[in-house]
Amino acid sequence: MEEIKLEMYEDAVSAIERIVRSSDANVLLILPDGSVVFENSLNLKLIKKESERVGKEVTFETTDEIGKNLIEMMDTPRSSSREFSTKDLSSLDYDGDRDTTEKKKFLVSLPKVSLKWIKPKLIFLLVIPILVLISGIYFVFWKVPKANVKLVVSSQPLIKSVTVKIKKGGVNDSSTKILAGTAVIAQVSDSNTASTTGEKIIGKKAKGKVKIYNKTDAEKEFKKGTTLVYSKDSKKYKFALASAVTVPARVDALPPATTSTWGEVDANVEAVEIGESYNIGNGKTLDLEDFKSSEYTATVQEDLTGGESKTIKVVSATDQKALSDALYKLLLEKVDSTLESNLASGQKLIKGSGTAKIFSQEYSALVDAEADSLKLTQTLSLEGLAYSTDDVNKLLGSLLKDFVPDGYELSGEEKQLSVEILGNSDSTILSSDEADVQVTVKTFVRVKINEDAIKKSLVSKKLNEAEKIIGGIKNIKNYEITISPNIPFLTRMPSNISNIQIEVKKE
Amino acid sequence: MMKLPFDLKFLKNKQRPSNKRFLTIDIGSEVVKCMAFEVAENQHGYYANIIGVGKETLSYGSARSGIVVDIDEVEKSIESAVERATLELGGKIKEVIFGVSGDLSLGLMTTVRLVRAKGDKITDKELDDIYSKIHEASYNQALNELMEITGDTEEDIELITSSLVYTKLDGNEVKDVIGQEGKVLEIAMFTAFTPSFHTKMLQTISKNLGLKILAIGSNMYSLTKSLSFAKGRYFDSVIMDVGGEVTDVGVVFGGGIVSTRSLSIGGAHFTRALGKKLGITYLDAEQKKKSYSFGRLSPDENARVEDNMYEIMEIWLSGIELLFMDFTGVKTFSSQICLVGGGASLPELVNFVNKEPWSKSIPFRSPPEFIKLTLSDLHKVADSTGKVYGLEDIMPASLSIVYLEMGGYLNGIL
Repeated sequence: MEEIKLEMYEDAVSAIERIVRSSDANVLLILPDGSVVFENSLNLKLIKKESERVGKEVTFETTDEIGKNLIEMMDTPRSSSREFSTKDLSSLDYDGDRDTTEKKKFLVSLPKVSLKWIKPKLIFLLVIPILVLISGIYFVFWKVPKANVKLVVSSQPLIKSVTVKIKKGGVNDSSTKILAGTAVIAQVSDSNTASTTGEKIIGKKAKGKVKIYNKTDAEKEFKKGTTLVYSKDSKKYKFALASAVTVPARVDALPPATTSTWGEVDANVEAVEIGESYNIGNGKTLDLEDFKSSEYTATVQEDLTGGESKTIKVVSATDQKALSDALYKLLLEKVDSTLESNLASGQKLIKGSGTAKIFSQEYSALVDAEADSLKLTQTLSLEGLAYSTDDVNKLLGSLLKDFVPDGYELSGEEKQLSVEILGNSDSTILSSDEADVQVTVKTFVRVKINEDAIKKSLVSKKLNEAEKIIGGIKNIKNYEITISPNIPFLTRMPSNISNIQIEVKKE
Repeated sequence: MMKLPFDLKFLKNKQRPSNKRFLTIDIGSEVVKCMAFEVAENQHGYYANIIGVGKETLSYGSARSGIVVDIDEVEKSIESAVERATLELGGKIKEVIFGVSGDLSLGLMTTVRLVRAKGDKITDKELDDIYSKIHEASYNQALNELMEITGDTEEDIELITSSLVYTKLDGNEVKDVIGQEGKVLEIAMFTAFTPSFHTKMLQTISKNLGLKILAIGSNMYSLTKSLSFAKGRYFDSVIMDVGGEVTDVGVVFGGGIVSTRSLSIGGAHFTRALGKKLGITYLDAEQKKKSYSFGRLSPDENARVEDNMYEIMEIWLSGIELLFMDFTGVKTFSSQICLVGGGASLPELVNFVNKEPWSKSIPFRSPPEFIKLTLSDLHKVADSTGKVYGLEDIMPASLSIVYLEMGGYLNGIL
């Protein structure tokens, strides 16, 4: 047998072409998961038909679940032609299980026997063994025989999806497809540490004494804070007067002398900013800001010293915000798991419904404080929406009843339930107050069997008769009858209807 | 009642203004077709006038049989097709109707009969309840049928089209049963469904392109409804849409579609086969196929094309035979087969289906007769662009009937 492996994108036509080209009469066609051939059941039928047309037998193999279903269904005819069927809505009340069989009545005449000749004592002695015998017979034929009938009936899958709104504080209502939702509240907290990025220059201002000269012929008062400027390498270093000073006017010598003596006064100054560059040596000249140097000037009288500076790391507002945001993001990842750990038994959280608010946050240092790292402890208060799985089951139970075709009933086997959260969109909502979810139930419906009627029809029947009766019931695909005790030649169904057990299973 | 995945607000609008504009978009396997329409009126009533046509080739593999594979690429193609269709219209048209077909559209007719004990007057509420039950029943039926077709038990579907085929009261057909008395009420309704993932995909694309979906319509239904104005309300027919990757077949009885099936072989397969046989590229093969369709090849070349497409035609026809056999409930098919879709342009296709004895195994009433539809078969559509002439244009043109029907423009006509 030649194996032909199809690629996922190779369609039915491609498969047929490859099979036709094959030199072997038997071909194993291996179809990959997700093969486009599985998009339509006709593809497989066509491959098979065309293979047969060229005298080849094809066997399909796949691990794809959908593909397996299709291969399995390929040889079974389409279930029905329901596109033409007429559903009789008014027949819903019809009792299809009515037993309309007429029961024949037999009247048997017994010979009359006179018992007058029997004495009461003798009657008593006779009655006891008879009663014992009757009881024995009753026990053997009525109580002991038991039969178990396993019926395998045809079934079909029933898949139903309904969109259900889960509402906080809502009331379960199958007509409006609303499920009661419960608020789940929790808190989650965590800490995180990050390096600080803020920088700050700290230090001391240089101080010292200057001598201020007055070159004018009028006394001059300089207020506290008057700025003196020292210029070096095109940079200006500013100092402020520590207190107000008055500089006397220039003294001119009397003619014929032409010399003048500038008025002067010592004054304390302090650098406007911190830093070592403000440490200026003795004798350096300073200008008075806003005044002409031809009128007023100053020189350092005693070294201006003490100026120093250094850069330190501090907490910035950005650091705090970044840490807060990062931790918030980290905590958001724990919303679902935290809320889930707070659920009561039987409750399910609607994932994604949780909302979070910052409840508290505590930093290890304030903005501008010197620190190499910053620690934050953040607590979020969470609220989410949950539903009860019992409620979903009940709601679906009531909804499913309407979808069971006539003549069928829910099998109760292999019921699968899935709840898909639809999220936020134009037509759906997901929040902590309400959420639209799609509930899908996959189950099977099986042909409705009237167990009581079958039991009645089996009472006291020989095994072969019982088999004939069951075999004649439409829609029963297979059956198995077990009678106990298994006594040769006494293989009859029990006369006691309650000893006949019927077990119905879907195929 | 099932939720329809589109906006029906304008249905509430009692007025029926002319000059209303809208778009139809049909996403095929190889091309996106967009048509711009304007509602117009003549002595026969309202109709949809084509005022713009835009087509854009889809990049290879971005869509398959209408299924969106690469949403970005398809979105770009739709945007371009819409632009082309509306280029000369002086203003944007946002309202759009999407068509779905092939494996994306499952159509079926559901008939219910109700014996009413009292036989009293039928009320709105009673009718609504019955419609609701029909929708639910058809939804279940569609899910089960889809499972049989695709084997997928997890597919979720949405109702996209729901249309009354007929209503009978005590055996007599009635137009409006509300307020009438009768004991036996029979209602036949056509419903079409599409997988939910496709609806969501179209909604996403529309949102991104600033379009507003008015409806997602079944192509097969639109064409049937459109044809009913030319062929009569109760016409019987088989509609065969030979698309790029898919051939869709719809069975019409009494003017209503009773069922649809699709085969995953279409015009693109013919092109691919031709390309392989002739050792030429797909685009060259497509060109050759078109030249053949338009009769531009020499007799020798013609014969060569026909020879090289013989095998794929055989496979296609074999599939068509299987497809007809898959309509399990049809006792007899109408012998009139209406052809649409770009793939049906091939002259060899009609020759092939006519000469092969395939139809003997299918219960046609008489040997089938193939008719290629033209725009003149759609009485409620007119073309003012002169650009609509191919078989591939019929489906997007017929989609306009959905707008006319939803907007109440057809009230009182049928």
